[in-house]
Amino acid sequence: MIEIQALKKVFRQKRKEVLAVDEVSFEVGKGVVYGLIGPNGAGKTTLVKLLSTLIIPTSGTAFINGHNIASQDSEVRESIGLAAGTERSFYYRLSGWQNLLFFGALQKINSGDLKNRIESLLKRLDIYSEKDKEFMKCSTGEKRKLDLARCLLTDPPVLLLDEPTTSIDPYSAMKIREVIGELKEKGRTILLVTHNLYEAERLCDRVGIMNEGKLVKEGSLATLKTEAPTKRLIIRLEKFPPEEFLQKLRVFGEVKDKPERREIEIMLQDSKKLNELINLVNSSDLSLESIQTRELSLEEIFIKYTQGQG
Amino acid sequence: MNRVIAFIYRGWITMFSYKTALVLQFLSMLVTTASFYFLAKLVGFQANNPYLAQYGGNYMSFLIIGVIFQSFVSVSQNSFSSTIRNEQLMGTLESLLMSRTPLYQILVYSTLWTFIFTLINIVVILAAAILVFKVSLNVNYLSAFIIFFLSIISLGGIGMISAGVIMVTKQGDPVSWFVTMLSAFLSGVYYPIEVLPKFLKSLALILPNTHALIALRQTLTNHYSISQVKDQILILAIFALVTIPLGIISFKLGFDRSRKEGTLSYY
Repeated sequence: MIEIQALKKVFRQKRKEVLAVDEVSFEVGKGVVYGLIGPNGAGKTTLVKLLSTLIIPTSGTAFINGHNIASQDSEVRESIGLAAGTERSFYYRLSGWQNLLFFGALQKINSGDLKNRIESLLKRLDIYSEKDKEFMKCSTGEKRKLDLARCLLTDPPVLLLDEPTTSIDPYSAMKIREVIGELKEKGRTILLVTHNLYEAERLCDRVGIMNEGKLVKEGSLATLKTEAPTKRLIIRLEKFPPEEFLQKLRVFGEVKDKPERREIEIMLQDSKKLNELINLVNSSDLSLESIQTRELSLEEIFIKYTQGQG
Repeated sequence: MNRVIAFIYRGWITMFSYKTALVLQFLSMLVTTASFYFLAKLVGFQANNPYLAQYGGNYMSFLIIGVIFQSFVSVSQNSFSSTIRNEQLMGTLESLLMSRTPLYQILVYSTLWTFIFTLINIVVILAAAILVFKVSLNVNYLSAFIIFFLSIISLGGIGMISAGVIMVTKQGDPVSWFVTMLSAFLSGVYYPIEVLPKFLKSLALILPNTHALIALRQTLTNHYSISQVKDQILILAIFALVTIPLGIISFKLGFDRSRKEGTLSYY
């Protein structure tokens, strides 16, 4: 369980204050995968490091399995597995197996259990055959899998996964997603930072969108789609309207015309103006055949909330 | 795997993966020992030399002990900060900190391999000095061990202060630089402190290294007992009592500042 309460982090850089995380609050329950998305520099990795106790917050707090990140850092670290998504977190001259043995020993796992655990994780992630390859010779996909394997050595209840599938081949990404799915089934609490919106849609029960340090929107995917301020409307007419009418529609939002299908797609910027739009269409001499609302994709919602930054 | 063994295993695997560097390092040791021999030959064996008399009059053994001690000084003073620096460079510091092993243990265990390797170096140098260059030692093992141990502890405290500084500055540690430079210059590594002008000699006596070296030479060449080096033991114990708490506080302050600034992974 992760509970974040008004967590804030301000960095001082060259006499300037940089607000990296701005009073972020949300919860991730047991067995839930929470996707954190946002443009580069939105504060996602800083948030993960705050939760990992690697950075001290400026104000606010968070609890990992009931342990306060500010005052119970060792208990917090015992409760989490962190896959930081960086290639520079292993010893390059050691093999994958040797690296995991080393980090496992630091986790105080006894030798026999540790070897069994490493073997089963490497087999599950399909890299057992590469276990003796020096880390520096591993592919990016293998490195990401080793990163995930390391954070699962202690089978922690809470997992913080920072872009675990970035820059890797589709097969490796699929394998990692499969394992994340299994961990969710086992009741692990997972915070997944990702730029891959397909991954977020597929794996996450809830999604938070961060921008400029703020959590600008969060909720289940269904909620995000329902509550999105922008609506996509498909209007079908008996005959395609003239340009003057399209100009009037553009006041409501971006318009895409599809004359061959006698359809107009409008990204309605303010959903409160839906009635006004319908009245406009009805008051014209164009016969309205149908009007439909279509769901926005997560990508469109993301762009809407982050204004296309990234 | 036991954590102590894990750190030694990591050091072993890493070092032996750089085979050429390893061979060159051992060759350098032998060449350095040979250089000392010729330097000592130039100075000559002078039992009545006023500066060397109290150390047995043999400049070769004087130099060898000085260099051996300086190796340990260097490891004690620099290994904590260099451990932090290396982990920062490799990007592994945060991964280590995420483990269930407390930070101070990580710091101490990380230096174990460096100490072991330094010990191997010293054994090679001593073996070459004794077997090839006929250096004779008259060792009181117990008192020599106590002096070595107390030196490592007291200088380790300074090393921890350096590690705290490196946490923040990432590169460039004035504490370690200052102490190492002063130690090589003043504490009698290459020449007895008796050759120094009075004011430098007074300064030399402020350093724990000077007392450690005086006592070490006496225990390794003149078979001095614990009671004969009790003054140095007391001085080193006092240094240890002061530097260790200071080192722990300094390291904690540096670590927390780095966490506050979010720069643990910077290098």
